[in-house]
Amino acid sequence: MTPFARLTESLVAALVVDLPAALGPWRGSTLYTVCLGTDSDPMTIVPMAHTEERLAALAPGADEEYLRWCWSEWAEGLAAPSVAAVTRQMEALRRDPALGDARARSGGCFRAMIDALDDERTRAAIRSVDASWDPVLHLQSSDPGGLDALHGRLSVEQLNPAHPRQDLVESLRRFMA
Amino acid sequence: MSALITPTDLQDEIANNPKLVVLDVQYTLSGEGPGLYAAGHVPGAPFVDLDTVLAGPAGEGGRHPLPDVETLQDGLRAAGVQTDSVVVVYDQQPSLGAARAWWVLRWAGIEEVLVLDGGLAAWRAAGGPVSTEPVEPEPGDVVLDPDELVALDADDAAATAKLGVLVDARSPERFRGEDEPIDPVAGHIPGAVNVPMAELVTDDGRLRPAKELRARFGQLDIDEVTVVGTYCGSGISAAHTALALHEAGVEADLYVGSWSDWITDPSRPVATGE
Repeated sequence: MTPFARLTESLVAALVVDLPAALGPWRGSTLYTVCLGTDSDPMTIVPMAHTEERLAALAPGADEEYLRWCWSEWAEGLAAPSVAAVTRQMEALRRDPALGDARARSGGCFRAMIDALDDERTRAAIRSVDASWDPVLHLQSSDPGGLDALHGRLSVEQLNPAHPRQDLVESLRRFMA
Repeated sequence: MSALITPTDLQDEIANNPKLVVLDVQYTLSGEGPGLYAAGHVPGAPFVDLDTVLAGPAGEGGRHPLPDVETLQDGLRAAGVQTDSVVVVYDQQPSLGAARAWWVLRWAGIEEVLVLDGGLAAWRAAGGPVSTEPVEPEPGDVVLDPDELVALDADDAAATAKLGVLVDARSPERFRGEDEPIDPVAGHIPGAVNVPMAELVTDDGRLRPAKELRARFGQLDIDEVTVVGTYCGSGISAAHTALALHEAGVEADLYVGSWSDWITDPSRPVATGE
């Protein structure tokens, strides 16, 4: 197993612990997205989620598509102590010159995060809170351009190919483009 | 906004825009750029060598990897590029070298870069003056800030082929792996689609009109939200395809190393046929 695959495994294990606990109070709401928030290096991993009910409570009259997908408009991230510990593992990989140049290491970290969201155990952990939930999944950086934007856009395609709400997926594509 | 400028508009800009810098990027695979420049160029336009300024040394990363930033910055300063310059690039035609310059300069953080549509041939046809005099511009002060555009690596290119659209700009024969005149391995990146660069230009070397380009890329279900990457042999024709996509309203990422980088790792898969 490669170091980045081990990162994915660690992150899946952390998400399986943290997501049910963090999302439990939202049972019965309409959860439309779960994402991993990160930054351009990447240095952080912060699980984020949002519901239609919370979206409706945000500034009426504002750009709905922007508010729907821009996690910095929602609130702080979900409480995720296990994921926070994995952030340190990612930081070690990002700084390890044995794993290639800086660009390759960043790319490996981005892909590991996407693969963790793509893992059936992660999806099952979300559904374990509310069996009706089938949120649009994605990776989103706080920095708008560059390699992290590419991986954000690729995450939309990898994680939602057969999502029943393709209108939402298309909306996210527009937001990320 | 279009990245193209017509010969007539360029003549106006040369006359009226003091921030304008015109760069000659005439280029051929066999190294005839300097000779073409000596035989004729837009008056006042210095020559910028694609092989040594707009690309790093061949080797790891392909035949024309990205240049190191210091080399690029030195080359552009020597060509008179200032921090606030509006840069116009051209080659003989059909804008392969110019498109590479357009992409690399924007990657390096220069915001306003335009391509003379149809190149020096169109300039001459429009009655533009041509000089054979050497040009030694006042050195510029541009400070580059790279990574403004996404340069795909091999893993990114593979992901784009799988999850978006990866456009191979080479000839159909090279794409299918039937004829490989340059690289030691023939074929293409699995999942890529072939849009030969030659399809995107008119007989006189201009880019086809935006409407036609949109229709051509639309046949591949490419629109403004599609994740699109381009590659070719070594990131020159593919920059031209990225320019064509830009004119069609689609921002594409460039796999600069392209096929010449892809095949340096024998574990990477190679597809042949359609």
